[in-house]
Amino acid sequence: MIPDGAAMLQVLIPEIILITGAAVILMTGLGRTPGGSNAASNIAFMVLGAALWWTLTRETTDSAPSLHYDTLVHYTRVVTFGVGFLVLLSCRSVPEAQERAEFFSLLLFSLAGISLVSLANDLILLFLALELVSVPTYILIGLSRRDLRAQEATGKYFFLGAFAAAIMLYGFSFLYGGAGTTQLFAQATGETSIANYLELPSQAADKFIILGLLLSIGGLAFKLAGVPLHFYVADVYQGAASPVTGMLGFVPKFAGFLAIIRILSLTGWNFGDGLFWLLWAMASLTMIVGNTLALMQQNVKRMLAYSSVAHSGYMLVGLVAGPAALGKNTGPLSDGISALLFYMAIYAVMNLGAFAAITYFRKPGEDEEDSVETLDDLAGAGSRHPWAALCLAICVLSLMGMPPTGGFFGKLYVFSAALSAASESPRHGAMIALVVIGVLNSAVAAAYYLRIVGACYLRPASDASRRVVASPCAALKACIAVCSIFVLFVFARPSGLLSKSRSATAAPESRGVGVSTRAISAVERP
Amino acid sequence: MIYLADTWLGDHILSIVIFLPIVGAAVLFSRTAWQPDAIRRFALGFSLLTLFFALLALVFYLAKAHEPGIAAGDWRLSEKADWLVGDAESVPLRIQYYIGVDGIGLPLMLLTALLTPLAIWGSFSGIQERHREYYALMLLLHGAMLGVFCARDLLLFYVFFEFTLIPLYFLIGIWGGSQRQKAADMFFIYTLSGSMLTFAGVLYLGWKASTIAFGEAGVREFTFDLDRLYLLAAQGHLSLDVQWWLFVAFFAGFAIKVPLFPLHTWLPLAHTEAPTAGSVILAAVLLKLGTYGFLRLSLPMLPLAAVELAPAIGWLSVAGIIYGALAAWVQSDVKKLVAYSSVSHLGFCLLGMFSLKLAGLTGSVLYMVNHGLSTGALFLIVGMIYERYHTREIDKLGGLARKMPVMAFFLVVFAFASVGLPGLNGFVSEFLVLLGTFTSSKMSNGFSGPLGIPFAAVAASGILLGAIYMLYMVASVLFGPVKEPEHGFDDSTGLTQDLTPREAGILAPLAIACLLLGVFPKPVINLMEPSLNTAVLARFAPAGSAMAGAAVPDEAFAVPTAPIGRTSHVLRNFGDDRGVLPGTKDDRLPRRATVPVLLTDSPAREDTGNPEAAMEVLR
Repeated sequence: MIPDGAAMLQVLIPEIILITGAAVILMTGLGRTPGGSNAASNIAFMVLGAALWWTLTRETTDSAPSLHYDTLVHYTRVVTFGVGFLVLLSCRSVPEAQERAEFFSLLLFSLAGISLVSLANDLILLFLALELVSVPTYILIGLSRRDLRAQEATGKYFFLGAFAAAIMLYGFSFLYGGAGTTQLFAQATGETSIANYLELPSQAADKFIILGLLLSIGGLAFKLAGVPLHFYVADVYQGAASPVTGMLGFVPKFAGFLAIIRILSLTGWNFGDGLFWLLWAMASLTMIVGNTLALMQQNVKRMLAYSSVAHSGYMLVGLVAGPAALGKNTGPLSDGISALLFYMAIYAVMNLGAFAAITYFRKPGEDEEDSVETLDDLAGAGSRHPWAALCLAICVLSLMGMPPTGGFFGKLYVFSAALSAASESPRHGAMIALVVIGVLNSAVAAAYYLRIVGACYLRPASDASRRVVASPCAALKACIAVCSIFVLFVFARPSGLLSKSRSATAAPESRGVGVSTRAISAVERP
Repeated sequence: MIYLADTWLGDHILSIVIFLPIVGAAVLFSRTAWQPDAIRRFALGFSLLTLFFALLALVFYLAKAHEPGIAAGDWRLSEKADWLVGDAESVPLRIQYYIGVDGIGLPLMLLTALLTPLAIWGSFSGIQERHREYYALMLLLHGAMLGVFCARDLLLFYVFFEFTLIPLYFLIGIWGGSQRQKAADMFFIYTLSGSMLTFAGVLYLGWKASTIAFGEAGVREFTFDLDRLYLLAAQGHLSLDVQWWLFVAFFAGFAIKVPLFPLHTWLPLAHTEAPTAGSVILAAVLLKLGTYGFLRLSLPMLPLAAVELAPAIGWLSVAGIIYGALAAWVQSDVKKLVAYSSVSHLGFCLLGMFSLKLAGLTGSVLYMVNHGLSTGALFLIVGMIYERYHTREIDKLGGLARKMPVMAFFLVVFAFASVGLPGLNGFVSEFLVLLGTFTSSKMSNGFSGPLGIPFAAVAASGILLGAIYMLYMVASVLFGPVKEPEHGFDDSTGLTQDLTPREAGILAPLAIACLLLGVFPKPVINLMEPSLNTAVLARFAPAGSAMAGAAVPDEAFAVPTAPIGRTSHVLRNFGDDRGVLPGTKDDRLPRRATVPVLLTDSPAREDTGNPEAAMEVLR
């Protein structure tokens, strides 16, 4: 029997690696030489590599109080660290020479936060992990650019983020007040936990518990940019430097979805009418509002910002569908949660690829930041920068969900999960309607995605775009290439990622999500 | 060459046909240093190579007929590989790369393989910029279209179906006319909104298949394998209600693609703005993806709903026939006229299909091929005129027969083919479609089709309108006093006044194909009929009827190659008949009254109905 503290450390080794590495980079102030050394970035690579290596090679099954390790954690780590590599590649040339140490260490803190969110088995730890994700991102936006807009974005994101965190914390306090414990899931029989408390129908219907759930979900909606807490998205995404924007599409969103999955697992995915319709409305509105607002944008970054709102909507469809364990007719593509996780991984890569490609185009002399933002700047890119434009087109077509790209399989899995959930659900019509809203939204989204592709290929070079030059950064080129190849590869061979995302929720030890055992025990109770 | 059918080549011939152009596109895209001439030769060479392999596939297909255990209507040249599989759970996931051809897909595949090289060849003078991207996209489109006609897995079908949008979007948007960007956007978004609903239907079918155990072993699988999905309705797992909604979902994608009135509004703009080769491919092949989708998916998978909704689709088709013809009549732009004529013609195609009679179905598939040949050629000719005069206005052109006799010859031939003059291909399919529609409500094999005489009567008047607008266009462009735009003929592209040998060489194969299919359609019909029986009609016959038993057609059909000795029952004596047929439409049909005598030699074939009833109406 390993003492609790040691067990806890063992479970946490990848996060410890990351945080130690981040702390070392921060304290030694690597890369502060005026020449802009890449030491900070190189060390960050190595640290991330070590964490990923540990995750892939060690089989951890231990758990510790306040933490629980399951396959979802494993999936989270692999995806986070894998995408983290791409984020590092795309950000390699971003920060100022004086701030490289801060920049890369904060990035590592943020990534460590994501996997802590999935590990947390305690409301307080969950909250702290979410803040570990968020607080560095506030600073990263400010660090990424010397621009007034970046400062505005930082301020806006920080204050609204703090506000949303407060709402979430308020919700957590109701959950604690009702259940009398902050532990989410019981790890041994007889332990008290919120999940156990909610198993009794009378308590699940308790108004304070419902209020707690609603407020928590509401606060988390900010992280994943779900309607109605999506207002900040365009300004913040536009204000940050493009690679940081690509990161923003992944880090807070993934953390938010993981937290929301854990919170909803408390209910055993047995939504009451109120909760169901709240999520349903959030999913459909997020898709509709995101796409509608994106249609109105001329600025590429704002357009992709609203598209990221819409993609949260597609993932919320998976969330509404819920895990497959509930259904009797469990099919292989019927698990909404693993559909969400699958979609998240693909979305992270294609979104990052699109932003990295936009970073690749530079317009020197305009202002200090020399970034390309309008469709005019991209006009004629297809002939002036054929490879970068091709990669951008692949990533954008993948965001659209067209074959032959990974985005197609993402949509396939999410909508197929929703359809199979429909057959089991008493709210049959609502689920089908959600799928129809989803597919129609995908068609609407094509209209603005096509504008980006059209600007690159269909329009002749404009005065603005003639000034655009390619970025010399090799890491950025590598990032763009890897993202587009990955997107195509997932289409050709989706099995690997798919089975990983399925095992993330399907394994028996997955206590948070695999609710089949709980559902049975609830039935057995008198 | 036939011995090759059993080698590796025979096993993978279809994959070669599909992916050869795609490989060519990838190679071409990466050759940034090549000169336009080299690019053109490369693209033409690759597409001709594809045609060669497609013909080889035909040879193999016919050779396989002699193998034991292969019935005439079966799929052949099949190839299967796992694409996305997961065995971890109780219900395995099996999404396959599953291709093959039968008598329905093969003619359309050959049509695609024939037309694309011609369209590429036809672009040599019209395309003056960004050659490398243009020809790469053409080859990409080529591969995707071939893939649709070979897919035996619903998801694979959908993937190819959807992917065709991307290359054509660029082809229209980059090399199109002045409104190209609007046309490309409209084309893409319009068709995508329909096919996304189809996507939902596809997913629903896949999920549904995963809930039902098939076969003796009772295996449940999440799969889009069409062989399985066909069984869903056949075994009664899809209620009429569900089928109805699924049919609507599939209809959304396919009817827009066809395009069926009133969903055709994207078509004229896309056609007029597209470059010549884009129009040719769009009209000749891409529209067929919609009709092929109906035939391959909607009808066999959702038979109850198909019967239920057939009258509605029938009326829409008839409305499209009349509307398209009237709209074509008033166009001043030749290209728009041909575009609207497509709306009208594809109405016939769907009408024949939804008659749910062998004659109508055969006519419908034949119509797809014929329309591809004649309309594709018409678009090519319009493009050739445009390259010389930079105008397509009927008012600005006249008497060109004197200036361009070779072009005039071809234009007359293809216009007649399109109108349905006996002796050319259009006639055969039009006749079969109308025959099927007339006799649709007749009971045969315990099944009476959903359409009937009123549909056929209105549609027949569409033929008349078709003759009017087409002949009117031909007359005013070719004959009368010579009329040219003021700037006259533009020789800057190196073209001669009349067609160059290259241009004549593009049109000649199409004209020969039109003529061959017109006077001697039996081999093609023999190829199609057994497959139509097996793949489509057998799904409509009530259980226990002669037709249900005849799902495997009798051995007479087992050798479709066997030339003509075994004639099609519908068109037996067709050749003999032909000589005495006058050219006018009005007395064409009554003379066909010789046919019914020949229709009754087998119970399994009765479902062409008894045309006598139809004949009476005509008299």
